[in-house]
Amino acid sequence: MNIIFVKVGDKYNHIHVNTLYKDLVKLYPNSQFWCYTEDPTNLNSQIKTIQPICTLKKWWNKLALFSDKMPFKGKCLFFDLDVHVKEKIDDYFENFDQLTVLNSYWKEKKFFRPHSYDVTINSSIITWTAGQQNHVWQHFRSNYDYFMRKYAGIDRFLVHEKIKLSTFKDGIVNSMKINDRKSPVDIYNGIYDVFTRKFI
Amino acid sequence: MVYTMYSRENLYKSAIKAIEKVYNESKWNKDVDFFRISDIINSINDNQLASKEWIVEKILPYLKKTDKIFIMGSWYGVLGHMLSQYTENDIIMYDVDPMSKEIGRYFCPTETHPNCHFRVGDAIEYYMIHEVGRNHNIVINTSVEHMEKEDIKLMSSFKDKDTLMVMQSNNYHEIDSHINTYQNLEHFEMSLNLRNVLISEKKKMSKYDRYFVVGK
Repeated sequence: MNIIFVKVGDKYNHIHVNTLYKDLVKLYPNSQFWCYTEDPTNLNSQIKTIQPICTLKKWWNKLALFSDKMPFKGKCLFFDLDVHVKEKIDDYFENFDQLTVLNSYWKEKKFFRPHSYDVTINSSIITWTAGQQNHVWQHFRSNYDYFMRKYAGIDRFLVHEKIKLSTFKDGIVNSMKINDRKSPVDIYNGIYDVFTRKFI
Repeated sequence: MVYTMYSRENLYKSAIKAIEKVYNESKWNKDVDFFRISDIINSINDNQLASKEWIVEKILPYLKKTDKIFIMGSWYGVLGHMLSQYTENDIIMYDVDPMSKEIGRYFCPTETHPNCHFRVGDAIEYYMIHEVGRNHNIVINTSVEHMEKEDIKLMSSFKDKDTLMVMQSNNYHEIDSHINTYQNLEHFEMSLNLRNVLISEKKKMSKYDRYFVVGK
C-alpha cells in the first residue's frame, strides 16, 4: 500500500511529515511512503518525494494525487498533516476501487444553505486505487480557476461536482473540534498544530 | 456599427440581465449554478473595472486600424465590451470556462459588438497552436496571476518582435486561485522578458497593488 502526504507551501513543515511518518511506519511497516512537495528538505529519507505537477495552493494540491502522472501504483491511503494516527485503521477499509473519504459527523447539526456549498464529507483521510480517479483531476483542470473561486475547498468540489464517493464506516476518526469519542485517528481540521501542540 | 462610448452604467445593465437569466432559469432547472451570480458581480467590481479602464486608456494610442486583438483569460468579456466601444478591430476573447461565452454575450451582444468573438478552451494551448503571438498584433492578459509562470514565459518567447504584449498581475497573494503573484512591479516586469517596455505602472487597490506592463 502507498501512504501519501501533501506538503506544499509553508503552513506545514518537514517535522509534521516526519512525525506522521514515524507513527505510521510502526503500524504499516511494509507500505511505501510518499510526499507530494516542492520542498523535500529534511524529510525522512524513507519517504519518496513527488514534485508538484502544477502550481496550486493549499488543499487544492490534494487533487493532483489523482492525476495519471503520479508515480505510485495500487492501493493508496492519504492523510492530511494535522492528524494523529494512534492505531491501525484497516478494519475501516472496504473498497479501494471507490474514492473513499470521511463522513464529517461533527457537522451533522450544522445549518447551511445550498449556496454555501458546505458539505458533510471530509478529505483528511482518503483511500483509492492509483489510476482509477484520473477523471477527478481532469474535471478539476477543465475549469480549475472557476472551481477555486466557487468552492472553499476540495470537499465541496468533490460533492458538488458529483464525483462518485464512498465514506468510511463511522468511528474511524475523532474530530478534535468536538472531541467526543475514542477513535484510531484524531483529526484537527486546521484548528490545532499537532507538532507544536498549540491551537491555531 | 453603433458607437456608444463606454459607460459603467451599460455594463451594470448587462450584468443585471445576465443575473436575471441565471435566476429565472433556476426556477425550473436544478442544475443552474447559483455561484454564477456572485461571479458575474465580481467581474464588474470596482477593482476589476478600474484595472480594465486603465488598459483601455493606455493602449488606445498604440492601436492601429488593422490590429487584431487577442484577450487571454477573458472571463465574461468585460474588457472586450470596453474596447469595442472604441475600435472595430477584431477582438478574440479566450477563456477555459465553458460559460464564459454564454454569459459574455450579455456584455458583448453580437448585434452591438460584432467584432467581439468568444472562444472557449485552454488559452495557452490556443496561443501555441494558432501562433497567436505571430498572427495577432496585440495580446492582452489581465489575469497573469491565474496562470503558470512557465506559460507566461512561453508566450513572450513565441511572438513576433512587433506584437504588443499588454499584461496585468498583482501582489494579492491571499487568494487561492492566484497562483502567480509578484512581490513588486519590477519583479513582474522582469518576469515578462520583453525587449522594449513601453509602459510599466502600478495602481494601489484597496487590498493589493495592481501591476501593468506593456511592451514588445
